[in-house]
Amino acid sequence: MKIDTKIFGEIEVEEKSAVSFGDGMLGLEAFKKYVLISLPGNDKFFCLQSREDPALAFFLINPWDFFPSYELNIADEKLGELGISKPEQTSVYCILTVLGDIKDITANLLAPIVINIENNEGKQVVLDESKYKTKHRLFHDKGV
Amino acid sequence: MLVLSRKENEGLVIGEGIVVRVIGIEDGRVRLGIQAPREISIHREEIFEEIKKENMEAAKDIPGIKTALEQLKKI
Repeated sequence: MKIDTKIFGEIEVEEKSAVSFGDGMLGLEAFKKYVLISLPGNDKFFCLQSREDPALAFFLINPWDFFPSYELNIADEKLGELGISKPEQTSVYCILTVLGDIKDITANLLAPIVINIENNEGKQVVLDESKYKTKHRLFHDKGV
Repeated sequence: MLVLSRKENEGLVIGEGIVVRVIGIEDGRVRLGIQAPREISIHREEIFEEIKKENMEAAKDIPGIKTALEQLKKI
């Protein structure tokens, strides 16, 4: 399918890259349909592009690529909402924020995105009671 | 805003299926127990606000991140 994006222009994406977020993202609840795009020539970063607003997108990482000891504990009920019953169905991503320079890229480890890769349903999960914050420097906080 | 006073072990019923109970009060902290249907999400307010703000910030400078990631590829 073709989708319109602000940063990549009009692009063709596979149907299976569609992800629906029933609750949207926190603060952006109105937008529920996204596609997950791998960046060409760059296997560490992904783009979650809204299908409803070409200007709305997030850049994501697989948290373990940058924070190998990242741990998350999500209640079974929350995973159940996505139809997840086993780890193999699950993908986890964290949202990046850049304020200025590349070295200041931060990842939000407190509120990861969990996707059921079998039914393509996703949710932003808040890790209550965790040690993580909304901003962890991608290139400094490796000890996390 | 509705303001009610409750003692330990007393609760409130909100709509259908939501019960908030005061479990304990200690050192200026109130422990609350909340029963709610699973589709109702419950967050600490300050964490909820922080994540909302972070999401807005992350979505704001998308061209900036794209440029940054392109620069990263060259490293």
